Parts: sequence; C-alpha cells; structure tokens
Amino acid sequence: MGYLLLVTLCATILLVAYSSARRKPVGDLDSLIVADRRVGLGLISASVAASWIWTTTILGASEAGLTFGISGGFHYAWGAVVPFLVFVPVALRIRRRFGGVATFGEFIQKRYGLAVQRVFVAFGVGVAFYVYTEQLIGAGILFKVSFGIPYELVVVVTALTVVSYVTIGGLRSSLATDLLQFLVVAVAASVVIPWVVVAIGGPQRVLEGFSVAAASPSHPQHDPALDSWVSRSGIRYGLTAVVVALGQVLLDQGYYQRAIAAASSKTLRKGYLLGGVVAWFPIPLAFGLVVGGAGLGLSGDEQIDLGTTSDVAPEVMGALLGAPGVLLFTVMTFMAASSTADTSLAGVQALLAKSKWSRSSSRSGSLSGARFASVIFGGLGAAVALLAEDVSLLFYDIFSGIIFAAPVAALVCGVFSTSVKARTALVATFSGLAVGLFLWFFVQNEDVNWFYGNLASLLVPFLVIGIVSVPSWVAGSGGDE
Amino acid sequence: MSETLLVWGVVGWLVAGLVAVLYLALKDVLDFWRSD
Repeated sequence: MGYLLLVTLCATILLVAYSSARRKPVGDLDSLIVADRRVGLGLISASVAASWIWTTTILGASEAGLTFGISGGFHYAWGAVVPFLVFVPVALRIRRRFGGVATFGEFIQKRYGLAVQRVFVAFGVGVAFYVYTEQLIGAGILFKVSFGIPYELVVVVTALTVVSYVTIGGLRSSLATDLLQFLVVAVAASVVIPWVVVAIGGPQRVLEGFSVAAASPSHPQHDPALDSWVSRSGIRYGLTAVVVALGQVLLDQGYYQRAIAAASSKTLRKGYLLGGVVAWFPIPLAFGLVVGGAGLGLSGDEQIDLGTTSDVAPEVMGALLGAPGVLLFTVMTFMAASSTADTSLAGVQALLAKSKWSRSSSRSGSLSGARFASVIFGGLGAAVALLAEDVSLLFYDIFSGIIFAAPVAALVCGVFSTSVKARTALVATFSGLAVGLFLWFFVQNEDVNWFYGNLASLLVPFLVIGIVSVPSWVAGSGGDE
Repeated sequence: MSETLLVWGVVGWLVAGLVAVLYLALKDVLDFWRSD
C-alpha cells in the first residue's frame, strides 16, 4: 500500500511538471529561473502558500499545541507570518530600485560588492540546503512511521523526483507542481481538521484536552500553563519562531524568485499576503489547536502512547480517523514536503547561476550551468538526509535560526538605506553570529540558551549597524553606493 | 458557546482561505491555457 502510494504521488507530480515543461519549453536562463516574469496573482498566492507549508507546519504545529498548549499553534503561526510582512516591502524595493535582478545575490552584489555577495550567497545556499534536507528527512520519517517503508528508499525517490523536474523545467515546473501540491493540501486539510473535531466529540472535547492536562498532575504532558493564551513559554516560542523564520524567508532565493516572477508589484504584494498570511496562517493555528488538543485528550485517556511528542499528529490521525485518515494525512504531508523542497532547489539553481564569482566575469551564468548546479545540490542534500535520520528536527531548526538570522539586518538595512557600508554589513553579520553561538553554547540554563542565542543573532547586527551607520547618516555623509 | 465559536471559527478560516486561493490559482491556469 505504502509503496503504491509513494510511486503514485511521485508519478503524478512528474506528470504535471513535464506537461508544463512541454507546453512552454525553457528557452533561456531568465525563462528557467523567473518564468519570464509574467506570473499571475492566483499562481503566486498558491505557490507561496505551498512553499511555506512545510512538513513542520503540520507536524511541528501539532507538537507545539501539545507542548505549549492552547496558544502553541497561534504562536507558531504569528511567528512564521511576521517574516512575510518584512519580506514584501524588501522585495518591492528591490524590484523598484534594481529592476533587472533575478536573485537577492545580484542585489547584494550591486549594493555591497563582490565580497559581501559571496558571503550572502553562502548563507543563501546554506538556508536552501537546510530546508531541502529537512523536507527529505520529514518525507522519509513519515512513510517509515505510517507504512513501514525504508527511510532511505523514500529519501532517494523523493529527491530524484524533485531534482529531475526542477532541473528540466526550473521555476515554471516548480510553480506547476506547487499548484497540484497546494490543491491536495487544501482539500486534505479541509477534510482532516473538521473530521478530527467531529471524531473526538466536538469543540468542547478538543479544548478539554488542554484544561485537563493543565489541571491533572498525573497527565503525561502535564503543565499548568497548557490552558493559558499568555503563557511565558508560548510567547518565548513565538518570538523564537520569528527569528528562525526571518532567515528562512529573507535568505531563501525561492521567495525572491516568485516575487520577481510576479507580473507586477501589485501582484507581488497581494499574492504574498494572500498566500503567506490569509491562506497559510490558519493551517498551523488549526493543527496546533485541534490536533494538539485532541492529542492531549487522547494521551490523558491512554488511547495513544506518545514515544516522542513529534508523533502526535500521526498518532491522533490513526486513533481517531483510522486507515483513511492516515492515508489522507500522509498524502498531504508528502505534498507539503515536496513543494517546499522544490522551492529551495529552484532557488539555489537561480542563486548559483546568477552570482558573479570574480571581478573579471562579464556575465553570470548559463542554462546548463544552472541545471548542473541543481543536480549536484539535490544529490548532496539527499546524501546528508540519508545520514540524518536520527537528528532532532527541533535541534536542527534552533541551530539554523542562530546561523541564518545573523545576515538579516545587513540585508534589510541595505535595501532601505544607503548609509550602510560593505565592511559594516560583514562585521554586523559575523558579530551577530558569534554572539548568538556564544550564548547558545555557554549559557548554562538549557531552557533559555536557545532563546537568547536566536535573539542575539538577529538583534546584535542591527545594533552594530545602528552604532556605525547612524552618525554618518545624521551627518549626511552618505554611504558606499 | 465560546469554545464552539473558537474551534469552528478557526476551521472556517482554514477552509475559506484555502478555497479562495485555490479559486484564484485555477482561474490563472484556465486563463493561461485559453491564451495559448
């Protein structure tokens, strides 16, 4: 059953990707990486939503509901939406001021020069690698837990599928498959969530899970703050989600690519708000509230036994909805994983192809070079995913937050101000990284070291840029442009 | 009553948001196929 499902899903995705590539073949590099810059509102919205629905949006938000209580899904959701409210003005400004660029690497090169561009491209490739690998790990674990299929087989088949269509069709194939993936996720989520509410006995029973677990010390997940909307741990989790997600959005070329491919600035603005906020926000909110609450209720009644808290969503589906529910849930989560993986891969393809690597190179890349880059990157990511089956995704997430939040200040300030110099951008970025890692490693309290590390990594660079650049800005001395 | 509103309100938002984006996306695809 599991093998048939995996093959059917991959075959369907490939069919859609190749149909779109055959209908409008890729003629040049611009066509491969920004789909000729003529993509409409509906496709941008669906693609942004599909790309931002990760396996962790479904599995992690449910776990957040179980761990942080009634507010867990809400904190996951607002924390991950804030970056889009920053990204939209940044992308609009880049489009207006640097109209010809296709990647954020090109913008950095024009704004700060070649040395800073190399550093930012390295961060961009790192973000994409982390996101791509995490989706492969998620897909592997999902099929292994649900159907007993070997983890390695799922990782390899998923990677081969995604790499083949992104290599051939680039962004256009990624957009076409995003639509299919979004369609499946939308239908499945619209069925699964109300089904869980009805199957457990209605809304009161869902919310009872939080109050019972908060009140009963014998409950396996007991925490008095579980039924509070303003718990300290929940708010801390939301703030960390902002930091982690800022780097994941602002350094992922996949989102710039869609922003630049949008037919107009209005399409960009509306598409990102519709896809990234209106359609996306209720997904983690609903999974955290409904699946988290149901999980606490079932765990208290000993109807499910949670080996790890990350298993809560598949366990709830199995206990309440049976085999059809598990099937629907697996299909939905696999589609979420593959759409996010293809966004990262197409992003790296563009980022590497359009980056200048030396002062002497007159142009930045070729169609075959871009395709070669995606094959190498896709293969390396799959190799790392094969070795990372037992890595904690939560650890992976927090660590990535500290690393990828550090360049955000230099990027955002560079977009809106001409006062920030290249050297300041580099010093600020590496200061944030150093202070963030220092706090994470050396603060003894493990309940807060990750929180301080993430916040420092984001805020220290803003502080450095402020101290160095504001006096010159006030004096009107200008910058290095 | 407030529990019912909260849970079904979130479910309603979920379904409405997804259906709205899906409608716009399918409209885009139809326009694209017609334009060829």
